[in-house]
Amino acid sequence: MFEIKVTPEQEIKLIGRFDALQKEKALQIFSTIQRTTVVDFQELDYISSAGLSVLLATQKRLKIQEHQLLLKNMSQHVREIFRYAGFDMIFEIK
Amino acid sequence: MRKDFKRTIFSLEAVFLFLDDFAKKNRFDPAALNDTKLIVEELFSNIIKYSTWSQKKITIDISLTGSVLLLQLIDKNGQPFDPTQSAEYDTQQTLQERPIGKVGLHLVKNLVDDLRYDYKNGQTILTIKKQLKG
Repeated sequence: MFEIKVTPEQEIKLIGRFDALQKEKALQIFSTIQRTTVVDFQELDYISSAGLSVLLATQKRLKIQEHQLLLKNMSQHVREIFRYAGFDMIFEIK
Repeated sequence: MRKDFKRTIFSLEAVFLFLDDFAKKNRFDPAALNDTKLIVEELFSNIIKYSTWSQKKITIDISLTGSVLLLQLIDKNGQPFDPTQSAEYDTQQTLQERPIGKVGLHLVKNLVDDLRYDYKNGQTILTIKKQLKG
């Protein structure tokens, strides 16, 4: 199960399992982001390299315009995956 | 436990159910299950990526001896695929230098204690050992 929602505060909320099957669904939302945006990981249990690649592509695009994704509320497991990938160096994680 | 899966990314759903079932029988904690899913997803999707033309199924074998998880992915398609020889992923690169993709096998190497590649009789056999935490 994977869900991606835009909250009334214009935050992105990721829910469930962000795996290779969810890449297109996530891209539909992430490709529309044009400004600095908070991504809430509170209810995300799992992320694979496919999910990481969506975040990375978005971050690259936004940084050119001096915007970025701000990530928050990661579980210990997801945070560990970010650390292994060295993504904690290229994303601000709250 | 052992099962064959169709060579398509859409098999992932069935692969995860298979791993859920194994984890339930062996009382994995959620972190161990997520690590296992990640290892299998990355290797399975790489096998598919490098041999889209093949119709042969991919076998996943999983067992637990004490606290050591043993995983095997067996690909009978005849095309060698050696993830142990994949290029090093540089985690120090800046945002703009980072390639999109390429990080999957790097994650696998971080999550396993041993990853072995064998190729015999036209089969790629990937054998993974992982020590599960107490």
